[in-house]
Amino acid sequence: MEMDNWTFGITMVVVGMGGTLLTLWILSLFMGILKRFFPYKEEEK
Amino acid sequence: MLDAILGGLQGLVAGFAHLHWSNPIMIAVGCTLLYLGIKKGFEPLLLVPIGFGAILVNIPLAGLMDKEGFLRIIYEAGVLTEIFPLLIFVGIGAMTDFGPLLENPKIFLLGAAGQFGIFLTLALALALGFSKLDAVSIGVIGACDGPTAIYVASQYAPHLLGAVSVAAYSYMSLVPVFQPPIMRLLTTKEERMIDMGIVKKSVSKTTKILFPLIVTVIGGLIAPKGLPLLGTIMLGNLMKECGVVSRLTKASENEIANIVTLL
Repeated sequence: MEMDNWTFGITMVVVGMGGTLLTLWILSLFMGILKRFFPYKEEEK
Repeated sequence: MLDAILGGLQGLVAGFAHLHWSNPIMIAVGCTLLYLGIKKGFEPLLLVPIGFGAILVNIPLAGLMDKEGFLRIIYEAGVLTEIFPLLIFVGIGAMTDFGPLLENPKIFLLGAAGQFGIFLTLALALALGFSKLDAVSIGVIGACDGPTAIYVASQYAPHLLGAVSVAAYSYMSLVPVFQPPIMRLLTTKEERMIDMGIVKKSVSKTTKILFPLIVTVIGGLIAPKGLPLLGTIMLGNLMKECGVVSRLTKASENEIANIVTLL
């Protein structure tokens, strides 16, 4: 699909930034879940 | 005999005769980078090889970047094949402690700050008339990530690889020049003297081991084309956190990282 630079730029910003924020949010959720299931134990020190 | 001697003497000045006006400029740029790296201490691991490389390739008739020149061989073996950025990322992963990030997972969202830089630079490149793929390659410079900039440029705009590499690494090297005055401008002396304290380590080893696996799978499924870079940095981090391959970890963060940085 051929698109002009303006459309390309807007699409990149929306999909790129949106996708990045979504991915980072999903990863932060996963990390929160991991921390809950595998809490830090003092003896690990 | 006189002709032979004159021919020989001509050979001694051939380099000077073939100098293009751009060569002395680039040699001066290389010298400037060397000065910044050696005398000022700005990112010497980057600027010293880059600066000297800029001098080497701008001496005419040396042929270092010709078909069988040694720099061309290294370039084709490591840069065009995209192997060097990936190996660097293994080293970076092995050197990185994601503990503070895992301590407070909300910090993940700050990772979007780098993306702002990319898309702002992308928009500027498009506005300046670059083609879409060229603009994409230029845009990655905005994230201040050298290996990724090289990787993307080698895929989408190989003809811009040299310019993108020099721009990306020069930009990164100048961060210690520009940031301190801005920080001093935006903060007070009292604020800069605040003791932040030590971050309490409250992340289990299991979490630290599972983190690179989860990031690789989730990130790879969402953006498969980014998996080479993402996977290698997570490989380095997994090696570091699992603790059972310390030789490989030490090699990644020392020998491999240093050799690839030099090349």
